Amino acid sequence: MNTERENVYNNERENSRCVITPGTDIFETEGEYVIKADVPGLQKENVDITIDNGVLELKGKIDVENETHDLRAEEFRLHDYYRRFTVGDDIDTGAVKAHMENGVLTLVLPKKEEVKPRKIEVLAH
Amino acid sequence: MSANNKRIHGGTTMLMPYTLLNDVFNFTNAFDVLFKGTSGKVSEGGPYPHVNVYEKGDIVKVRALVPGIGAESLNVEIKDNRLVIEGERKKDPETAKYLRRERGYGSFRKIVALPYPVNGETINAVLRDGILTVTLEKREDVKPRKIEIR
Repeated sequence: MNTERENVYNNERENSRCVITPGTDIFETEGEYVIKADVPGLQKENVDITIDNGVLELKGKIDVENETHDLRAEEFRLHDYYRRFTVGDDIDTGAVKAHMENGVLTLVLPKKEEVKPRKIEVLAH
Repeated sequence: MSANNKRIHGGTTMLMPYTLLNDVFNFTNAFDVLFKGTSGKVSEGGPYPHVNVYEKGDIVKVRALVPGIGAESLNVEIKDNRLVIEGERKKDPETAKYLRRERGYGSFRKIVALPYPVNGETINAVLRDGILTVTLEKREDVKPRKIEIR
């Protein structure tokens, strides 16, 4: 039998498909852009990343139900993750790498060869 | 440098300016302190990390969201019926040029009040996908005991 609290919770869950916008850092080094997003509870195989027309889309599916039965204190709920970013055309989309560690998704987007800073040798005559 | 400066900052844990209203809303809390001797709150020591507490029979389970923190940077201990979770999230290299910065870093300490004394020998802590799960068992001497009637 469901308690009143669980009924309220389940209705809420059905009516609104909650999505979490993960907190994200983006930084740039000479040769690449790095995106780091906090996605606790997300498993590697449930991450879906696409780059299309200059838009990078990040989707993460949480496939475990939030336990409500024996809950005594609740400060968080897990929901699917979603975020999109506009990326410039200076990225080598074929070489983008992603990895997950401790609930943080790291994306490394290498810059195209031609936009990387190049040192020009000054030739002596 | 004060202790506050070391707290995790940025992201969802921004410090709130003090207002008189905080105390008004904490009024019930003040009553709890006066009459029950406890604050009535489940956790203290700062908002980070967020925790859920589950209780089923003789087992208490505490789950905390700690993305980006390895097991080597986490410390979990029991102190006077409280679970203390301490740790540190390390900064990424400062030298990079940041285009966006939303994730917090720094050290944190969270104290979770447990509903009953627990057995210090059977504590189990697992870190998986950025979620720490600590499972604790009620101490034998406080478990209900059936008394034989002769």
